[in-house]
Amino acid sequence: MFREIWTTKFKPKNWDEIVGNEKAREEFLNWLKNWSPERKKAALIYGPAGVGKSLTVEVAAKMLGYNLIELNASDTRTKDVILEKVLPALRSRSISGKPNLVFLDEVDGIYQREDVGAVSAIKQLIDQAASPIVMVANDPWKPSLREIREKCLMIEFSRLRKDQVLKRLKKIVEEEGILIKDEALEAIAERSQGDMRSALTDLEALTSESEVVSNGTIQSLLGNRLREESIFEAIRHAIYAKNINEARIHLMSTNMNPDELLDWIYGNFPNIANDNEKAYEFLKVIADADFILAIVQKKRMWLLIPYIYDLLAIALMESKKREYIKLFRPNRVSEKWMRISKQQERIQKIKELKQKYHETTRTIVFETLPLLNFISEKKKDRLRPRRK
Amino acid sequence: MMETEQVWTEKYRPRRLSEMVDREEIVKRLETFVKTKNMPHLLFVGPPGTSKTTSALALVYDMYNGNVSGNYIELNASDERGIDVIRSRVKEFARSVPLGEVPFKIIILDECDSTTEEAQQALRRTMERYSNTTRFILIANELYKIIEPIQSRCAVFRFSPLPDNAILERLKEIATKENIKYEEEALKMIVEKSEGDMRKAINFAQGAAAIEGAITVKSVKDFIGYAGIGKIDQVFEKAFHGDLEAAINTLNNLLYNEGIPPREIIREIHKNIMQASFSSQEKADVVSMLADVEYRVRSGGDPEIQISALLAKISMLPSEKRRKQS
Ligand SMILES: Nc1ncnc2c1ncn2[C@@H]1O[C@H](COP(=O)(O)OP(=O)(O)OP(=O)(O)O)[C@@H](O)[C@H]1O
Ligand SMILES: Nc1ncnc2c1ncn2[C@@H]1O[C@H](COP(=O)(O)OP(=O)(O)OP(=O)(O)O)[C@@H](O)[C@H]1O
Ligand SMILES: [Mg+2]
Ligand SMILES: [Mg+2]
Repeated sequence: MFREIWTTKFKPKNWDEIVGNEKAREEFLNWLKNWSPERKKAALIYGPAGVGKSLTVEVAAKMLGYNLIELNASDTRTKDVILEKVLPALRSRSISGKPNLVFLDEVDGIYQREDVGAVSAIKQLIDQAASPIVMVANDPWKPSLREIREKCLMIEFSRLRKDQVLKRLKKIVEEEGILIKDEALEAIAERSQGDMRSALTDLEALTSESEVVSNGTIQSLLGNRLREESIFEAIRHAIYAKNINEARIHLMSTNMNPDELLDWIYGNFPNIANDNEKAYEFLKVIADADFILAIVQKKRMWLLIPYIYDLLAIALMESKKREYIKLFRPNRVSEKWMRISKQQERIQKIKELKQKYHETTRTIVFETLPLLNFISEKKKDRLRPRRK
Repeated sequence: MMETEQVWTEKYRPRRLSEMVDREEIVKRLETFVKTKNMPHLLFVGPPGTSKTTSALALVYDMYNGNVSGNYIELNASDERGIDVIRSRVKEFARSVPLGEVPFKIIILDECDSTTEEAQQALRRTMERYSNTTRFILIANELYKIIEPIQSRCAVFRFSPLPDNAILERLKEIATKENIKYEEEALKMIVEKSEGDMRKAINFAQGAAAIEGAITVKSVKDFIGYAGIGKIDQVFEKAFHGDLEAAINTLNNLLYNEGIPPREIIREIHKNIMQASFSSQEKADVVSMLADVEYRVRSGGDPEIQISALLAKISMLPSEKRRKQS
């Protein structure tokens, strides 16, 4: 028999079954009901994973009788695809006569390189739209989304509270007759950190055995998820910590390797330090931490690791404290491996050219490569037929 | 696709000593080595594009009368990470018997000034141990980066910028062979812009010629605008004017999109610092931090983080007054 995963099996079918984020959901519903080209034509729902963002859109569409036209990160989203698939829909009703709702999920997963022109195509969509567009993202603060952001009603979803997750879990457990101890359910809710999807997934993972699930099973069976949200919070807590020790403890609680943590903190420096003096003080300490890290990795001096946390804690504590600090997932975290491999490729290429032309690195990088690129560009220009 | 393009500097690199323009004194000395089939270790020093590599290769060519293969190797010191590589390759090479009438083989070590002191120290012994069968030609831009014991083992040849007329004549010769028309003014402009660097001059000429098939004042300007090392200058400029975020973004672009090695970036920033209108005290501060940054990056520190910290320092230094002035 066809078997569904639990997140699908227990996916809420109607509005009231969805848990939490009532205000945000209400705001979205109102925007949709009162949609008019005079007001914001697009909405951008954002927030952490598994809290019901996509779900809310789907349920609302069904409830209000919209025909949902969806494009997500697994579709190619080049300019052409977007304009061909979506633009006609925005201008007309569906065949069934229902009004269309364009749903662009995971818009922060648009990569400039692969999804060529996607961002400008979305802008164009919004400008020409005669029906609503809703977008969903985890991280709406990516620089690439800036222009889109300006055109949207921004709706923030937060992590669910533990009791909200727990309540839903209990309901499912009762309906299904699953044998599980309360403390184990609590533990699942706790580890989910407000991510309903992960709670359901854990529950499913644990109950495929036909025995009573206890807390011990959970601890020994399941690995911890690395939570971006908890990283943000740890960093934020460290910034507002009363003393260095407390800041340090927050940082260590993320369970991240020092190098990852360093990337997160460094990558957020524009948000953490707001003038050049501050930035300098901050970056100087971070650079010291990075240097110690290099020594740790090269000389395998694990004993030095605690100092890295010290320095990171100091850097954060000494940074600005006034207003609320918005943090984001730094590009360097997601692109690191890509960059490194690209760099390797590049270094290899430089090496080859050096041998071929008997030249120094400097010459290849600053003279030979630019010259070769220039010549091949010009060649293409000349091959292209000219307009009369 | 790119590689099929002939680069003029390579195409017109003189193969023999007699084909070289200018450099009379040096060529005379080197030709004596060829005649006597003997030479000391050599150290060629001078700014970019002043015939160092060309002379080394031509000397080798003449020394073995064209039968170079098996008689010499060319190592780029900056690539051969860790002295062990150099050592093992050198040893391996030195062990084999010379092939012809010349009783020694030659090792060219280019970009020696980017090796560490340790590596140079190791070389010191190697140069002595195998001197019977192997002679070294070391090449560097700056003499002070070569440790004294190495300098003392070599005959040091200084290469100065080429005189304008030598470059001009060479450009005309190349243009004629390539069947490319040129404006006299355009060539003069190239000569002026290249400041005695023959390579730069030839590259400018080839780039300009690629635009419309002729070297004109306009095409020269176009190409120079495109090719400038200016991109790294921008990193510095932005930091200097206090726009730290823009400086770091540009830095990232150079590091990750253009793939420029961190060491080269640090080197250019250094040049900029020395020319900038900082006070002496500020300059000293920034340079010592820069030295630290270079050391850290070489020790495995993250180039982006380390250089960013340096840029932050630069960005907070300039007084309001100076920012307005520039
Ligand atoms: N608030 C909620 N109430 C009930 N179930 C939920 C809720 N949030 C998530 N779920 C469950 O988790 C699944 C995934 O939720 P959804 O697709 O809305 O996540 P999302 O917020 O869009 O996350 P992502 O950012 O990872 O795409 C749903 O199919 C549902 O089973
Ligand atoms: N004396 C010369 N006669 C003719 N052409 C020359 C001469 N010197 C240099 N060139 C031309 O300039 C190019 C660069 O010269 P070369 O490679 O010798 O510079 P270099 O001194 O080794 O510079 P770098 O320090 O940057 O390596 C050569 O490929 C050649 O085309
Ligand atoms: Mg989703
Ligand atoms: Mg050279």
